[in-house]
Amino acid sequence: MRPKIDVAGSVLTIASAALVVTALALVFLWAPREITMKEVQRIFYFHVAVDWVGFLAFFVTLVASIAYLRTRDRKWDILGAASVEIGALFLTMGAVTGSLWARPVWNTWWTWDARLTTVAITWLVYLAYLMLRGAIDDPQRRARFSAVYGIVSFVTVPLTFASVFFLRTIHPALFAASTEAQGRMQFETGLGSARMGMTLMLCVIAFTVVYVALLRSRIRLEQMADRVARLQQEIVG
Amino acid sequence: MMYLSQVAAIIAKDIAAELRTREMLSSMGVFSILVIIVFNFALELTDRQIVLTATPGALWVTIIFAGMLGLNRSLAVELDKGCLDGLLLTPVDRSAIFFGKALGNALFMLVVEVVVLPLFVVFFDVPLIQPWVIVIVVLGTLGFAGVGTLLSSMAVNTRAREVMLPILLFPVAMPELVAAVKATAGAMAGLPVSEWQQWLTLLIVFDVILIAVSFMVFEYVVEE
Amino acid sequence: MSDWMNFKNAIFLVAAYGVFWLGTFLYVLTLNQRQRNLEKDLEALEALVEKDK
Repeated sequence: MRPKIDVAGSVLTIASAALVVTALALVFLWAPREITMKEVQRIFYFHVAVDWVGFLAFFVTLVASIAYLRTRDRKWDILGAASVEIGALFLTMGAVTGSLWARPVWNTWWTWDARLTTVAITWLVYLAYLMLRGAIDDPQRRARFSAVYGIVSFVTVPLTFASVFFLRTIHPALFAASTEAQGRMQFETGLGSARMGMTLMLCVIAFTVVYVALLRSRIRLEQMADRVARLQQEIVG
Repeated sequence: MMYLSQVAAIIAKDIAAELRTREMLSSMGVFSILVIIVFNFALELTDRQIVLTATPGALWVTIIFAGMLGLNRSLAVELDKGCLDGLLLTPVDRSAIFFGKALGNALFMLVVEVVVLPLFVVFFDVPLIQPWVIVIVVLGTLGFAGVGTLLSSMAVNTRAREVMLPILLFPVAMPELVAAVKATAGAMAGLPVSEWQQWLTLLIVFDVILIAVSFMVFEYVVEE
Repeated sequence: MSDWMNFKNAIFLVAAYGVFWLGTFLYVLTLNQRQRNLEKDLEALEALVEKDK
């Protein structure tokens, strides 16, 4: 059997690899050194990028959920589920690396500030979504319920952020450690912030391409599973 | 008027059903009392400061858990007895079913809260019977019952049934919980509304958004 | 560049980037595994369908 050459997939893989390598080079060789945190600060670049894309994934799922309820086309269901899966992976990596950055800098593994809490809650929503899918056998119902939950739970992200944000403004003392370290990065070279900004942007682009590549693979996997299921039906029927 | 009478009819049916067995209310009530007793031992009651800081949270935890018991029961019964299917056969607006069930659930939660609030006052000596506190409790209950009804109607149709509801509901209800606890603390302490109004605003925003969204997607859950 | 040798913090830096690499690598691995399994199933099923015809 002659395997067809997957052009788009190869392009995405190569692009992802190239972008990640470039990003790494920028992060370690070009980005400026931070004054207080020194080298450990470099975690920031991939950490922020992966969190950002992890939230982007939720937005993709929201759109896919709405599209599914309107069209009932299986492809939207596949997109929504695949996006949540990869989003969960990214947020997990984001949270873990965030802790690894927090520990040397703030001397704590975790704090319940606005951003971290929102990440935690979003992660729980992703988990809930995946568990919901796991608990339903009927494909139509599974798609429908997932879409409904995808829409309803999306609202909780900005609301959670707002709720914890207010918490912080009222009790600044509790979060002194985090407010100090967040957003107060100072760099050694004069062009510090500009370089940081550009490096960060490239990291975000790199992870977005990685996300798209993984998404495509995951979608194709699911389409293959659908074909297998259809063939099984055909044989039995 | 037709719409409202449909909603009212559904609420009336739920009340009638509950009055016959009183299963749901009694289990919610007993559960709440148990939680209060546990908090009694968990909180260091000698330190007044601790009591004042912790009671709003303890109150809402009690309400949330009792509420979930009620939500599970309410929708599970519909499923088991096939009442929902019956309802769907009638020419009733789907959203009327949602409001009917949600308001009914909210009503049951409120009945339990009528018992819980005085119990808190008695056991923890906290001034909870105040107009603002009651407003906050009602608002919190409405939002929770609204989105809870939607999610519960999905949860009971899954393999994991009752276990699924907390998993789905907690992350979604989190901002409402934070806002309700903070607002309750402010109101309980007798602070002027301006001091804690952002929590009240957040609570209302949460209610409006989530009830609106829930009501819009409910029809997709019950279509079969 | 002496503080580049700040050993304690370097561990966190290395660990963090390790997490990124490991996380992505493991996920791609599971995807590939599942894909290979499915391809096997697909081949077997297609052969069966051919036979029936």
